[in-house]
Amino acid sequence: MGVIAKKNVEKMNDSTRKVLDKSFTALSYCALAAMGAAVLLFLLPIAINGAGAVFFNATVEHWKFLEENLGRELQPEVSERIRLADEARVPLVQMIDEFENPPFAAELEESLRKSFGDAVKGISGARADELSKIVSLENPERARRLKEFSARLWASFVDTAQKARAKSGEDGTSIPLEKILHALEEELTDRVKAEISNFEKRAKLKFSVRQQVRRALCAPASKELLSEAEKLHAQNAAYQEFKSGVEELLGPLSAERKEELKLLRQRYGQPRLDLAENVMDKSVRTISVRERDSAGTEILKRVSSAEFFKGTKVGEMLRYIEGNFTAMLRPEFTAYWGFFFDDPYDSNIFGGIWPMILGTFYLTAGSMIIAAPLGICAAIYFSEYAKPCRLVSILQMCVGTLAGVPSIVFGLFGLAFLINTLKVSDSKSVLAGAITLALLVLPTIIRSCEEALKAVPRSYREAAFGLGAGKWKAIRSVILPAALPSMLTGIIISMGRAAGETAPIIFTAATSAGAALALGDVFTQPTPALPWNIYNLCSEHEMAERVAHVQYGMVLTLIAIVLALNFAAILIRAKLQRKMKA
Amino acid sequence: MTQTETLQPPPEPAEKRPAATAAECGQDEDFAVRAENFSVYYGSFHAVKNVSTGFRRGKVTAIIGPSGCGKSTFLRCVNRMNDLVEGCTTSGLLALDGVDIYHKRLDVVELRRRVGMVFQRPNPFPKSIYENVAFGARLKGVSSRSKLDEIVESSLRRAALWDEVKDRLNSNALGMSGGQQQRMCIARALAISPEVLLMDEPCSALDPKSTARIEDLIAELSGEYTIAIVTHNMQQAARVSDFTAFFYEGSLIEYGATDRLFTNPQCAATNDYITGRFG
Repeated sequence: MGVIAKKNVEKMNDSTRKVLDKSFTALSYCALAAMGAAVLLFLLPIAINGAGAVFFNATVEHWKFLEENLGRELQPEVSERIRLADEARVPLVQMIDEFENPPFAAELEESLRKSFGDAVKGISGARADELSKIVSLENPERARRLKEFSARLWASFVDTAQKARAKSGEDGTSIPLEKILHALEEELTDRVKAEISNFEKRAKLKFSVRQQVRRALCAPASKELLSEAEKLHAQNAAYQEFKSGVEELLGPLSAERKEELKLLRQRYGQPRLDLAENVMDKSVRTISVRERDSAGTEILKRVSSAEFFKGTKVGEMLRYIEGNFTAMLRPEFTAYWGFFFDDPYDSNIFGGIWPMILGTFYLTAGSMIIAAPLGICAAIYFSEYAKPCRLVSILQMCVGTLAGVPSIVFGLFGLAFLINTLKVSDSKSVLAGAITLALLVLPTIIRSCEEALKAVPRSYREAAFGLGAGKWKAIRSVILPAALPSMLTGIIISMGRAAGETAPIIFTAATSAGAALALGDVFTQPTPALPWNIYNLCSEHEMAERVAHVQYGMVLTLIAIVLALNFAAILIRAKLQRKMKA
Repeated sequence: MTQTETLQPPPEPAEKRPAATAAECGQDEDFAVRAENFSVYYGSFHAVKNVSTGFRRGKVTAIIGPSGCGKSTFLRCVNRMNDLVEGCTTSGLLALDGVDIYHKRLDVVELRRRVGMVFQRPNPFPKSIYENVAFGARLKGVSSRSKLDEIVESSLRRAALWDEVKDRLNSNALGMSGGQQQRMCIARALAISPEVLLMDEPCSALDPKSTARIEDLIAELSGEYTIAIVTHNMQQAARVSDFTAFFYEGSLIEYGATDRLFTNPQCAATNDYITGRFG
């Protein structure tokens, strides 16, 4: 009985152990799977979106930019595409031109100008006698009479202008009319001046009187012209909004217009199909119009362009754009390797990220040049020379504490000590940034190198000393070579950390915009760098959503650099270890 | 003496033994290494207690004894390997050719060039065979390739390894078998032409065949070098050594010519140990 019971107990223990074993195994598999999924979830979108910075559907605007700003030679078929796209745009340009300058606009202008001219001529013509009486009066009677005179002078023109404006909604002349009224307003002062000069042939006016007359005669017309133009402008706002959407999509529609615009983002349409489709949706297919709500407050309301412009000439334009979207932009899938090698233009909206890559390289290489020798020396001291004593344990504690200091503190330290106190450079510079980064990674390097040295088998030391090697000889010829793989791994992983750190370089080395730095300038000049520019582009860029692909491209590049460094560490380690193991 | 007494080691055996053994083997044979009243402490632990003995020039001296009896510690003092151990101190005299090994002004590097050592486990550097053997010579400042070649070849020949490795001198030493590695370590030690060769259980990690080769090697080398070998293997001690010292709990119990000590031990403890009754 006792024996059987004992056996059962053993069996039970055995099965419990097996269950436990299995559940632990399952748990660890789950953990691994979760980690893998997390990495995938995290890396996959970055990889896909980041690849979009290089591989994308480029519209003709992309090629135009490359040709005109970077002086790239285009393939003949690309030039052909640009030509075809421009050809497809011609009808649209004509439609717009026709809409803005309709043939009957000339007629309208003529009639308005005639009425305007009649009014102005009144000053020195038909009404000149009346005016000379008025000017001979004393103030304030003169002022009052002048006002009356002016109102009568302009009455007919004002009437014509108001009528034209009232009709413009129906006959579609509001665009040219606005222009005409503005033009007349601009001419007004000169014309009135000229007529006053004519008038003065009869009676010389005192300077002050002349001024008074001119001002009084201009005022009502100017006011009227501006207020009418204002009303027309409100009437035209929806069209102007639509047109600016079209220009955002396709670029300026005429060469003269292109000359006026200075920013690159205004001089070109959308270089990428995804951006173009976005603009098409947000600014062409829909527009915002001002409306008054029931309480009389003016509000902005988004409306569909197709609905809003239904049955008008603008509606026709929209239909043409919808129908010829591809023909006007000619998107074609392309690999833009220049993303890695071109300078950025117009805050990264065009061009590549070369200065950032180069800056990251300078900072990383610089910090390693400083930190690696220091770290290795310190590690050799700690593991080979230092006798356990108070000073050494304090030093060890310092290294440990340094490793735990937040990186932003290193950044502030770099600014306060390196730049403001030591003045390693006048302001931010790659040198100051590299020193700061070096200090940041130094504890990690010391620790990993120390561990590597301590992991060298005791037998190597014994063998070396037993053969009559002095301390330094043993370290140099046996211990260091044996520790090298692990030391390199630690250093390369620190390098990855230095490449990716943002906070230490904010105050010491990074600048948001700037050209690629020549090697000679690293001691005095700041540089753009990937981590800082990713932050800048995501949070401080005025058109952050328009450069989303650049943000992802930069992130992917940075991850690729860090992963490549880690991978290099693994490879070097494996290679050196293979060499050592025979 | 009864057996119960031998398990309690005699309080002061070391004092008398060397005098007796020296007389026994004749005064004409001089000691290359000589210890007088020599003690080693690890912190407060008295590991080697007032040992007086010596290694005769050109002879093989075996040191036997159970684990933890201080024989390795004693051996490692001869080239001051114990300096690497934290808290290790010594007292008494240990002399190489009449010069105090533990003298303050002694150049340890020079000492270690005169006293080579082969360790329990083969410990080649992770370098080529050639570089391993040439290591000591390079340290001494030999840089001419032909001279190094000569030293490497002669050392490997003396260690009876040359024929096996002459075609792969540039391959990694860790690629050799354990026995080959240990012979290479001997060659490496011989390459700096030491006067004394210390061997700390050189065969304990090896198979019988490799052990036999090493023992042959020791026999060949004796006469040319003063050799001290620590071993757990009594047969080995009997086979290769001219003299044997028996250590027990840090003290030297008995020292004498190997033939005599194994056939006619003076101390009962020695007798019990070599007949396998303890240890």
